[in-house]
Amino acid sequence: MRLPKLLAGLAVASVALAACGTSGGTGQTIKGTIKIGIDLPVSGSDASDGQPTQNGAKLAVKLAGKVCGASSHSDACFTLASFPLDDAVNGAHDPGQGAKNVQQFVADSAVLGMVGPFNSSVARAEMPIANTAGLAMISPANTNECLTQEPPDGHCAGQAAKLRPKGGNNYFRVCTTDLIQGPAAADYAYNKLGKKKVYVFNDQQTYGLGIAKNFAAQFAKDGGTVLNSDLGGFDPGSTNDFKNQINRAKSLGADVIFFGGTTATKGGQIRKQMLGLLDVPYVAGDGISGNQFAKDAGDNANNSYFTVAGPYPQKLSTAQQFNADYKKEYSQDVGAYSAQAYDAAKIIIAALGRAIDDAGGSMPTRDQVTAQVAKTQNYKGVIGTTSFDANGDTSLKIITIYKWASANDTGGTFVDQVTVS
Amino acid sequence: MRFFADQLILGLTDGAIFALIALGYTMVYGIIELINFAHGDIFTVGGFIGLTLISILGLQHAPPALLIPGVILVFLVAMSLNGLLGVAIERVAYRPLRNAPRLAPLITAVGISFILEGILFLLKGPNQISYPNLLPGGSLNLGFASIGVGNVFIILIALGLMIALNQFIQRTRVGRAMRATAQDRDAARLMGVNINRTIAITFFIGSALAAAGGIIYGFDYQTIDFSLGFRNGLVAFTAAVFGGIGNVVGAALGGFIIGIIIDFVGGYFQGGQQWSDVVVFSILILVLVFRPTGLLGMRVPEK
Repeated sequence: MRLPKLLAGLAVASVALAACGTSGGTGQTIKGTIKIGIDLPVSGSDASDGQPTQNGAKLAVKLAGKVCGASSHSDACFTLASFPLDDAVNGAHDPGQGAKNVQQFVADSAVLGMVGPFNSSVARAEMPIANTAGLAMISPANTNECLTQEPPDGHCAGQAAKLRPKGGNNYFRVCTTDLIQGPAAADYAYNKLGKKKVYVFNDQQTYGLGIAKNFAAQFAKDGGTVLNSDLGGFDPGSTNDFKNQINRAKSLGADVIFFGGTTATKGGQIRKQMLGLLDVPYVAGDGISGNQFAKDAGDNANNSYFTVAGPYPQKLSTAQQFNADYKKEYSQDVGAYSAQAYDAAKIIIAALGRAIDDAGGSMPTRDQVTAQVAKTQNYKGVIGTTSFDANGDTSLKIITIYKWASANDTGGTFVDQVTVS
Repeated sequence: MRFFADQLILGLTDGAIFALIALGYTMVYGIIELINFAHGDIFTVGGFIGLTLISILGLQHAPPALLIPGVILVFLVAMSLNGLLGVAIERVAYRPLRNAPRLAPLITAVGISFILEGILFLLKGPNQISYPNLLPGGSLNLGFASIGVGNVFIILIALGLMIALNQFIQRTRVGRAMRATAQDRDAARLMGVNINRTIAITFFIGSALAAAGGIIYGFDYQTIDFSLGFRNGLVAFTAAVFGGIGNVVGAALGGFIIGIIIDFVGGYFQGGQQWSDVVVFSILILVLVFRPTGLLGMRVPEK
């Protein structure tokens, strides 16, 4: 009785050993699981921006499946898993929630890199935590310039250094900054739309106020007039009442409105309330790139323009495979930042491969991964060729301009693309 | 001049909404000295009830001939349902505590506020929800100003409700019972006034007016969300104190004045949007310091 049972037990054990020891008979060993954190706003008004972005990052992890050493330890592999979290609270992105999410990533020793966040205000809360833990983060969509650099005029007041309390850089992004995006929107409004007098609104958040300033500076430089030097700041959490400001814009003779902010900070409500009061074009940055904006703006959605800090995915030869994979997986077209998130995740995966080599084929440390992400040069991805500079900014400086046509518009219509070299 | 007139109309429109909410605060305070902090959320619920009725009746696509009776029906049903909600809240959360220390019903009011917000969040989600504007569009050109027809309707609806309320309180038996209860509850009871019923009616009317305010808010801003009641409730409460809490005419006046202040400050000053709240609440403090009873004087029980 005893012997057969023991034999059976041995047989089972040896089969199990064989199963976990090798995979596919290529001599590769799965040594564990590495997780990639994804922090984006995927509920409420931000969902139409954040969900397609999250999908892009998840798709990269899913298609890769595992990561092995890049060259010297190509037999040492780890299963890849995504660890997605939502930083929206009560329908809008929330810096505090973002900070909590990053703490969760940091607490999980299998998380060696993260994709996100979407909003620059959230990035400000997350960066010090990730920096202290040495966790590499690549944002697909943060555009506020002060997160990474100190422009010559000093308007960032040393913020980038404060966001890195431990020193060293762990923050990267695959989109360009508002130093490019804001002026591109201004040039478009002044030169292409032929508008001379702008009235500006902004939500007073990191991104909204920053892009409004950059827009206004370039619009004035182009020869236009900025009608309100206060840039129309308001508190998005407490007001729906924009009609008095719209009236003010009208009495000052505005022929275009610029909005610095996001859909969740009432971008659509302002556009909607312009209906019947002020019939001029509406220009904003990538904060209104999700179709929730069109829904919120309703009957007045048309004639609204927005920029995206990246190329137009439908037009790119490098993106065709990605577009098809995405559509197959999610049964919908890619969003404005899906491809950026896909590339961000792929860059982390590539860096993981090199870091596994650095670690001699075992689980790399976060510092090893961060060091390899920083070394990313000429990475050929879906959106183009990405190299990171010392600040963590990308070499790829492309701005695409879109236009909303109606409340039912799903992704906006491409109107122009600007490449800055 | 044109800009002045534009802002004045906006201010009166916003003021009409604040006034309708403020009436609920002031009536309840007048009769049982409770600051009903749930009232802002009752306003939001009223707006949502209106929105639901509009979509059930399909009024967005209704022909003009059916629109007017449809809108009137929406107002009546939403006001009644919201009134019943107010009565139910009073029955459950305030009446059992009527003789408890003053702090107890205040806390249950805050609790009801959070409960209503939570339920709205669960039912309607966190998003801004689009609200159809069923009021006629277009504007009247008066030469020196053009006035939106929708704004005129909003102001007229609000004024009509306020006048009806005032007549009700001054002219009817129930109105007299309300005034008597406010003045001296025990004496009123001795004179045969049904106190519980009178207080319930007060809650009914206050909540019904809030529903009208909620629907008008939806028409005006064409958006609604679960957290709408918080700020609007506080501003309306300020209007009630400004006009003299417990004083129905004062609440209406306070609402209009605060609406006008907000839109003038917002429209005329750089950084106006932020200045609005600063100015409104500074004025509130000045009024309370130099005229603690508000503009028209408090009407509260003498104790």
